[in-house]
Amino acid sequence: MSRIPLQRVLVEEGARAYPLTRRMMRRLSGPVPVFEGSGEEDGCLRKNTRAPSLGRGMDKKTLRLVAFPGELLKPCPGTGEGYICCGYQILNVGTNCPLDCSYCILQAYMNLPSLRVFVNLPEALPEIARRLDEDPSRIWRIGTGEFTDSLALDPIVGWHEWLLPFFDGRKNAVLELKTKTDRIRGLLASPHRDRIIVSWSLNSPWIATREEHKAPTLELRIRAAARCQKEGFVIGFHFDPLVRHPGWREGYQRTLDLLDRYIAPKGVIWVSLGAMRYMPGLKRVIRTRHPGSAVLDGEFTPGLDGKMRYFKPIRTEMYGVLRELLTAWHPNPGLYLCMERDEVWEQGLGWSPGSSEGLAAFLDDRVKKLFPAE
Amino acid sequence: MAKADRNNDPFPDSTAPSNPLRSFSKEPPVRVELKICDLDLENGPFCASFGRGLDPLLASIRRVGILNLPLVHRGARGDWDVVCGFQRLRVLRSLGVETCPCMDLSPENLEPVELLLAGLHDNLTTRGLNEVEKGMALERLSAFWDEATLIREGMALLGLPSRAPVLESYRALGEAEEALREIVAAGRLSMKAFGLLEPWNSPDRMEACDWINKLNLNFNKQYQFIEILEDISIEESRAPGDLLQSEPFLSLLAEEGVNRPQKTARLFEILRRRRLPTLDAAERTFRRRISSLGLPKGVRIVHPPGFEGTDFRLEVVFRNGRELRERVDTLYRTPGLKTLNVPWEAEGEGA
Repeated sequence: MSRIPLQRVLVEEGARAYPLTRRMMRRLSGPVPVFEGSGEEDGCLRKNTRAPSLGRGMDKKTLRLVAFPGELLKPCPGTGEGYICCGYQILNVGTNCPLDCSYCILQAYMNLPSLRVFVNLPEALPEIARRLDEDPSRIWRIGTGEFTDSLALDPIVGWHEWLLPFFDGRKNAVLELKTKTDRIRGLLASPHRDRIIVSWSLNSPWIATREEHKAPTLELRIRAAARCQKEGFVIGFHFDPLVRHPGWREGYQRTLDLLDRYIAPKGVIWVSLGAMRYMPGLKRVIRTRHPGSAVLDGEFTPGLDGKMRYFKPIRTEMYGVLRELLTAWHPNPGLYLCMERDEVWEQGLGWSPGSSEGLAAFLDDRVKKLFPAE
Repeated sequence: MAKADRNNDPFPDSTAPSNPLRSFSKEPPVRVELKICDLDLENGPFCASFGRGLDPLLASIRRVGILNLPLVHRGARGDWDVVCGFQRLRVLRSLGVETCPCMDLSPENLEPVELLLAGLHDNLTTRGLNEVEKGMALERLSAFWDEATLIREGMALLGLPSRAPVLESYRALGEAEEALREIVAAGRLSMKAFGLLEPWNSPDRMEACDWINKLNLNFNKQYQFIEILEDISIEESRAPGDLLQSEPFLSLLAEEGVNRPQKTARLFEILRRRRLPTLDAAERTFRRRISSLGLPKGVRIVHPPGFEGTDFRLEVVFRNGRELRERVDTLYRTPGLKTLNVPWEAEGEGA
């Protein structure tokens, strides 16, 4: 992956005083111009308004350092309406990412432009620790990769410096760093491994090449995963979104071949599957920003939650094919579905956790297995 | 008349300090009698008329005469610019009238943008502007205002959402084919539908417009038609116009003895079958299975939308308890009911 192509950094009001800001400024000193304020005052940026115009103005070349005023740890909104969710917690360390995947939900979901890093994260950690400690019997599965890529900006931000020691030794929590990048230098340099899951978002080579713009190749991602695994990290994989495209079976088979070549399946905590789905508003953004995209091809119908999904037997078939490929790799890869219905689990994977609580228990068991209590 | 002193305005309006119309003096503009043949009624700098037939105004002027005098302004070279009232003057010209009294705004010393706004306000409060005229107005205003002001002030003035993509659509409309602009101006094609058509090649969008026109599709149907056609076109790597010029579309329009709503229904059936073949086949299988059950009269079974949910719905129409009982009894005895299932599974599997 090439350098992060930043054109400017904006230190927004209230962010200057934070130590993370100063550390980042030291890392960024050089060719990237730094401004203070929201960027509107001197006209260096378009107005910091809501709702970027059909996602066109995502302004991924501006990095804003922001003191986020709200809660940084929140439950994943899930989707409800009979779809089984995993009970994940999102640690909101920033929004948007420098990659430009055509299907990215953030194009429609995020209504503020630019890459944003929340520089008050280190100061928020004691409060997060208090919340985790309040509920010691619960397993907190926490991730930073929902609203941004967990590692894409790590060389600049240095999240690993704060987060890895924070989770190390906690008996009731794990942190999942989800990424499509190979930016693992910071992780490898850290002495902390405990309670950290590094996971990669994978797809077929066809989709990775055509739709995951600015992301490293699948082979680079998987080699980065192999390196992390070798260095003692627990790893995971996410096939999300699964896209039905010409030759999709062979395509996903090729990705599994790569996994087989580089990864020891025994050390994989879980593999999730999620068929392509989108909020109706995302369609026009994709058509506008990525005119050649194939992710909207195929038969989509409105789901009960209002999102467009592949017609049920189509996605059931896709899950079935991936299940076959993955269980041929390892009989128990910790396979689960993201936001799917009970009957789709049954038909696609041959079993169902029955409910969101059931799925959470399944994933908690995986955590206990891969991070055994001393 | 001197330009009004904003600071001495006895009726200051603090909510609209930048309103240019407040610069008018309290005295009425001067009335002048102008020769119509001396006025440019086609391309004046303030002209904001497009796609308007003169007939309704002609009938009105014939009946009651000119009620509001056109607004004019003397240009730098001494010639007259019409600020507002192009249509009225065109009607008078067509009626053979040689001169017309007009209100001269020149003594107000108004800036060009203020004249433009005067004309716009006059039109907005009387006849309104069609979509093409709104685009023309935005184009004219963009010569005086920056993008942010145009979005904030100009679009609000025209009753449009103050959003950049909307402005882009109106700008694109200005570049569109004359025929397409006429359809939009006449209100037969929505701006939302135009927004979908805008990136298409000219022959493709004109072909789609032709269908919309011929089938008189309402705004919702227009949007659906274009969106599904676009999906098929991308997936099949065929131009939309090319698709519409091939079977089964081609013969649909020519079909005789079929009225427009029937043709519209048929068009959407074809589009849906092409776009969602598996779902369409499932729905047909389901209908066939239901029909083969021989359900009692007044009883209907409806599948979940798109088969996404799991719950089917039973509808029973009845007049009284006795009839309900009869229908439920007959339904209970209906053979094959237990085998009812989702269409992609063999009958009886899920019972």
